[in-house]
Amino acid sequence: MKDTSTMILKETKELLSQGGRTGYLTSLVLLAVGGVVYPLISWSSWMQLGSLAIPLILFLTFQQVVASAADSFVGERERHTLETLLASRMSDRAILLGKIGALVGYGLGITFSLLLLGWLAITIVHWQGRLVFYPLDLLLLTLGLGLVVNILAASAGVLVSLRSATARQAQQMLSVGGLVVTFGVTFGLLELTSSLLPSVGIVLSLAQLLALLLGLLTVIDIIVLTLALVRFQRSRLMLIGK
Amino acid sequence: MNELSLEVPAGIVFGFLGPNGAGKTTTIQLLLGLLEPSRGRASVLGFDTRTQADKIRERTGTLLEFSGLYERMSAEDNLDFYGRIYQMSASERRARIKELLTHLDLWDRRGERVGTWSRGMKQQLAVARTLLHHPQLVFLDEPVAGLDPIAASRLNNDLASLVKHEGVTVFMNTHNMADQVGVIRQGKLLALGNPDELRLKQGRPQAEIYGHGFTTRMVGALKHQPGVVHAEQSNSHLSITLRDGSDVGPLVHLIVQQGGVVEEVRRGNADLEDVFLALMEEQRA
Repeated sequence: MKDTSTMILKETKELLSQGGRTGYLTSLVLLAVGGVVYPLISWSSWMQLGSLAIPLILFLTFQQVVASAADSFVGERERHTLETLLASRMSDRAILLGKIGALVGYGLGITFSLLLLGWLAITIVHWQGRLVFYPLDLLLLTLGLGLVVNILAASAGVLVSLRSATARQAQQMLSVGGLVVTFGVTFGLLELTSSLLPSVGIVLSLAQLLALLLGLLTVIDIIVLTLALVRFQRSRLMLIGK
Repeated sequence: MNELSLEVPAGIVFGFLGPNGAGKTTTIQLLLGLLEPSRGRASVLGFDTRTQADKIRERTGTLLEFSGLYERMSAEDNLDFYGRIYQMSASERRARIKELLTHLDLWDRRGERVGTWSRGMKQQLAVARTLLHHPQLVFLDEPVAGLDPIAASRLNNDLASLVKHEGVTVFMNTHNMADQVGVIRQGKLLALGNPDELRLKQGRPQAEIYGHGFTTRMVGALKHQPGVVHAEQSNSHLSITLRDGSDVGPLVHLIVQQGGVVEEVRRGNADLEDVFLALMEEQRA
């Protein structure tokens, strides 16, 4: 556990400094658009976490985490730091879980920031005479979904990064994969809620739908995470690209 | 690796020599358990490289082909991270980082991002990282490769003083400071022994002749003498490799006859690099 937290600490430092000024600017633009501009445009539905609020939060988080995850192993190999890390006493499991843990923490930070910024911006600009909060059930489900989406993005990203020869290759694979998953889940849910379930007399509320998605993603998370743990082998990593 | 068998005693600096692609780096990776041998076995500090690699990595420090430093992090953060990996307490880490960086004259620059440093400074820092947790054994893979002569000399001095100070066993892919040397080619061990023994056993006698008036014709004539293996002119002196038992007197006589002025003659054995080249030539033949 101590080794994993050591890795998380180091990975977080690296994540926060990646890209330099451009990296900070990109994060700022993402938070401004997703956490201020969009919530102010559709402020009433945002405060109900309806319409596109939750998909937007999850999509932005997923994209950010997956982009950073692509770099996790192959980036270290390209920067020639991986071999030294593998030659240390750090266990395979601690290295892998540390990297995933830092990415999940980073993603949750984005999820929290988007929710908090949106709430702050709307509260200030559209003051209702009293403090209005997000519906608690939907807020908890959004945070839960944020967690499982981040675990999925981090684990899948790390898995691809483990097998890729270059960071560019990993990023390309994950960009395509990310789009397929995003559109697949979105259209799958739309189809499920608008035609399949109503045809058998089942109508789901938004909270029920989100809970269903949460359960589905948790199962996928377990599979992908297990796969990443099984696939992580020092000797294999040393041979990639040689 | 091809039936490579060698034993390195504790407490020495072992130099592993060989041309590019000879298997030096692969040997280090095998000994650290980073690669699995297809057959054969090796043990490091009494631990099997296949089944107890984690125990080996716990007790060793490594500076591989690249410095392995995180360039976006400060020098201190780099060392602190590895100190945490080796489970050193916060106070231990602070004291040890200060001790090593002060020794290497880097303490005042500890807060700077490593990416802004020269290659020589990065290698110094990597050496500090390698020794941070008081390992019993350190692996150094060509630590001065790619450094300019001044940086290389400085790093060699730093390494020598730290190794002496720490009393650690060193396995390195270079011959500097080595108490014992192994020469490898295509994964096969060609020679093993201490550098002086190897020089005596494998090195041919050398003669360095200082003076002026040396000509290309003179060098050509020297090359045709029966006791001469090789002769060349470099700046103000002639370097001559002799056959065993050859006398340098007739050569001096020839030089003077051809109009050269001899001011000083030095005799000695070939250095380790010449021994290495001779071994390579022998094996190729």
